[in-house]
Amino acid sequence: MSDGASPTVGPGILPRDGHHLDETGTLVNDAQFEKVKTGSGFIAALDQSGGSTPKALGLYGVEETAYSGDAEMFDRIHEMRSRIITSPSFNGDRILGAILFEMTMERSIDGKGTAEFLWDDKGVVPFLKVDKGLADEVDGAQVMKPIPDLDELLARANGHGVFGTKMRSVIKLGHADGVDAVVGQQFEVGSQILDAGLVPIIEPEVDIHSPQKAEAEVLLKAAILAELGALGSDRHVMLKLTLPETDGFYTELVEHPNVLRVVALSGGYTRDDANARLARNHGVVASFSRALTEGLSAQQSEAEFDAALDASIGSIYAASVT
Amino acid sequence: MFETKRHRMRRERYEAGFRPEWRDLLDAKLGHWNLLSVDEEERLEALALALIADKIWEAAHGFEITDEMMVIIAAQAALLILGLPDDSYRDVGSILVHPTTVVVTGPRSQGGGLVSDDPMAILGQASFQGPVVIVWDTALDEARHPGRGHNVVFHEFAHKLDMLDGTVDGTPPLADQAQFDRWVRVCTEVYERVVVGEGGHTLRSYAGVNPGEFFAVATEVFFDAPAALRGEHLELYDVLSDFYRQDPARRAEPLGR
Repeated sequence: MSDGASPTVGPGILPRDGHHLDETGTLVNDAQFEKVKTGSGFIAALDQSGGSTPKALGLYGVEETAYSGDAEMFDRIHEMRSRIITSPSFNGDRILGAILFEMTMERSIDGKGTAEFLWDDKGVVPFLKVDKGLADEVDGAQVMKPIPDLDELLARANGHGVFGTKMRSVIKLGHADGVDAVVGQQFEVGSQILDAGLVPIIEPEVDIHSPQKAEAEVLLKAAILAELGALGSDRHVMLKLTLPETDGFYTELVEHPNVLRVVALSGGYTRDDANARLARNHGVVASFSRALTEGLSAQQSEAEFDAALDASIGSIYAASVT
Repeated sequence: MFETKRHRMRRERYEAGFRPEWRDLLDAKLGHWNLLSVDEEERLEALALALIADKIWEAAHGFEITDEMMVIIAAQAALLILGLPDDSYRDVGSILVHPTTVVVTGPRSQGGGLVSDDPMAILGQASFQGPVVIVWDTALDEARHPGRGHNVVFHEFAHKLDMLDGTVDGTPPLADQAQFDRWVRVCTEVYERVVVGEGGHTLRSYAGVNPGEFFAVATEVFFDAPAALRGEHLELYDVLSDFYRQDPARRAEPLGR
C-alpha cells in the first residue's frame, strides 16, 4: 500500500479491545468496570449452591421428590436460572451484574457459556461465588472454610470472562474478635482474587436476627475501613452488606475511593422490607437472591413467569436507584 | 533409527489423515464449517491436516495442546487459503497457544512513528519468520460465534500471508501488476478514511494503526462478516475476493452475515 507509512517486518499484534492494564498489570474490562462503578441497577444473586439449592427449588415449586440425587437437582436449578436469565425482562438495562455458582458458570445457555451469554447477549456483568461455605461459629462469627484450588478456579473464571467474585462470612454478635477474624480473612482472600485480576465482592453478612446487630455493624464498618486504608490506590473491591439499622450508616464506605460499589443483601427480609430499607440507604444497590425469585414458580406459563420476574426486577431496580 | 521423534509424529499424522472425530469437532465448534461445499470441506481438511502435521504446536505456561486446539485453529487458518497455493503458510514455523489473554512488554510501533513500551494485553501476534501466537479462549469463542467481524486466527494468519514478501505493508504477494495497482488504490483509499475516523462501521479503528493491521482486520471482516463488508466497502470486498479467490458473502447468504 502506498500511504506514506514505512513497511516493517515487526510483529503484527492483535490487542484485546475494550480492556486496559492497571498500574499492577492487571487486565481490566473497561466496559464492565464502568458499568459496575457507575451503572444504575442491581446485582442478581443466582448463586445458590448445594446447601441452599433444595430450599431455592422448593420456593420455586420444585419439591425434592421431583429430582433424584445432586446431578438432577443441579439440572433443575440450572433450568430455573436459565429461565430467569433468558427472560426478556432480565437484561443490562436494570441489572448490573449476576453472581453465578461455579457449576452454572461451567454450563451453557443457548450454546454459550453462562458467563459469556450474560455479558455478550444481556449486557450483565458476570460474577462467581467462590467460597465453600462457613466454618463453625467462634466469637459470635463464622469465617469461611478454606478454599482449596482457588487459583485454579480463578483461572477458569478469567477464561469465561468473569469480572469478579463473591464470598460470604456471617457475623452473629457484636464481638470484636469475631468481626476482625471475618474481615481479616475476607480481605486476605480478596487480595489473592485481586492478584488474579478479578474484583472481589467482600460479603461479611450481619445476621438480621442478631440481638447485637447495631453493635456488630459499628465494629464491622471500623474493621472494613482499616482494611481499605491498607489497599493500594488502584486496588478496588466491592462490598456486600446487610442493610444497616441506621439509615445511611455505610455512606463512608459508598464514597471510599477503593470501593467500586456497595451492594446490599436481602438477608431474610421480605422483598418489600428489603426494598424499603434499601431505598433509605442512598448509593447502595441491591444484590438480592431470594427476594429476586420471590413469586416465581415452575408451574407458571412463560407469560406469567416473565410478568412476575419483570415486576420483581422493577421493584428492586426502583429501590436501588435512590 | 534415522527418524527423529518430530519426523515420526509428522509421518503418523499424515498416515492417520483427517480423523472423523476432528470432523465432529468442526461440526460442533466451527460456525464457518457448515457453510462450506463438500469440495471446500475436503480441501480445508487437507490444508488443516498439513498445518497440524507440518508445523510445531507449542503450549505456553504449562498449558497442554489438545487435538481440539490444533483442529479448530488449523481449520480457521486453512479457510483463508482455500483458494491460494498449498504452501501459503511456508513462513509459519510454529504456533504457540496461550490459554487466555497475554500481556506483552517491550517497545513496539504504535503507528505514525510512535513507539510505546507500555505493557499491552493481546489476543495474538505474528512475527516475521517467527511463531504465530494465539489465545485459545478467544479463538474458540470466535470459532463458535462467527458474524461479529472479529477473529484472532484470521488476523494473525493474514499477517503471515502479508509477510511472504518480507514486509508487513498490507500487501501480500499479488498475481500481476494490474491486481497490484487496483489493490494499492482501493486499500489506500479505505485505509485513509479509517485513519481519520471515517471508515464506517465494519472496519474497527485498529485497522488504522498501519497498513499491515489494516489488511489483517479487513481479512477478519471479509471472512467473518462478509455481507457487512460488501455492503459498506464493495471495492475493498472485491479486491480481497480477487486475492483470496473466494466469495464468502455468497457462501454466508443463507445466514445473512
